[in-house]
Amino acid sequence: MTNAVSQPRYQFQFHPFHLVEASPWPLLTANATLSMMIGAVLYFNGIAHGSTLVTLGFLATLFAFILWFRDVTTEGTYLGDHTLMVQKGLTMGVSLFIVTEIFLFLSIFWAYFHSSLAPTVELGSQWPPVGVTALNPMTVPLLNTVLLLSSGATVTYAHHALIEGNRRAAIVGAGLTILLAVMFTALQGLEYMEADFTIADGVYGSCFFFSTGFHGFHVIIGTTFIAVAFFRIINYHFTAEHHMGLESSILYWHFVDVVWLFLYAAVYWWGSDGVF
Amino acid sequence: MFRPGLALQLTRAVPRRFASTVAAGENEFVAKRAAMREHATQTTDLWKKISFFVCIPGIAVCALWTYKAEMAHKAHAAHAGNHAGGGDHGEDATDEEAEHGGRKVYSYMNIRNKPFPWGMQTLFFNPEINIPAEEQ
Repeated sequence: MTNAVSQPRYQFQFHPFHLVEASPWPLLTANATLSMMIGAVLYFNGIAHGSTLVTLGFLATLFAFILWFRDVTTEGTYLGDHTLMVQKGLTMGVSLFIVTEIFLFLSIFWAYFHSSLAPTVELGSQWPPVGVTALNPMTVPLLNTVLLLSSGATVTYAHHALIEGNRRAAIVGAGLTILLAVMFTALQGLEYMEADFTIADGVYGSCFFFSTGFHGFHVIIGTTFIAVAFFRIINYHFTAEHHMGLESSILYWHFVDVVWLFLYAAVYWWGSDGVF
Repeated sequence: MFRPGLALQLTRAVPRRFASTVAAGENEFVAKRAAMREHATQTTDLWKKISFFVCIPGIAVCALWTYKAEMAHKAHAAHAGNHAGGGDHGEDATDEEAEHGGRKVYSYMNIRNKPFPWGMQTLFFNPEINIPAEEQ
């Protein structure tokens, strides 16, 4: 009696919602992130074995994420738990998460403008402060802007190709996006090494590396997000109609892209004070 | 386990088109899906052209421009003998401000209140460009 039609009525759910089953991953994630946080505090304060604890905490968090997302992937891809209603809820969740991210960056920009709009007398009442040479916005930062905007185009190519049912083009588009993202991160690393100033050079260094560093961190997360979607396309996880993982990664990627445009305009271009 | 009364109440309270994947009016739903696919078919080619014929050449041109500008900057820095700028502000420095290779280190620069977890130098420290902090 395995035929769905012949099964008793009570074995069907009367609603489109996903009632999740008991899972060990939230507790494991909580423990892992707590260990990572305590380890980081010990490490920052130079206390013995802090580096070991922060490394183990990070690895535990990584494993918890992989195991948790593996379950979510199974539920959405193979068990049919992600109905249209559930997809709507998940998309709303991703959007709200991005809203919290926008407010995080709002506070970072606030710190930057607080210090740069009316530079203190001690800095020579100018921005960049006396003795600090800003990076030239017309060289590598401009190339990085072109790279990120291009990655927005290639990811749209991948998305529309997937809806069209063109598997090969979807893989090419997503792969190109990852390539451009990795190039961006590499160039940012190069710029960090070539910068005249460091994070220890007063409020200029603090604001520059705080804003671009957090953005770079988000680029790495977004690249990982798209890379997961890329491998799921290759593994036939997505259909033309149901590919929430890819869509969420695209939403996140556009957010990272827009933050960069603001960073480029405010920190790199306006912040270099027309030196170049 | 599932009270029929409650189930009936729920299905009546929630409009069916929100609660079901098929009851949206099959035609409207199917038509929307078909329109999406049709739109994607048209725009995939457009985004392909934008990606390959606008973005990639744009990156190439910008990379070439950046490469040339960086090389000119390097040549200029080697000629000047000091890559780190800011030396022209030297007259403003007071006694408590140190000098490093013709470059004034103002009181708000190169701050160390304690070592970083990995040592005295910053994470992206470049000995050719940045001023080293004193080892403690």
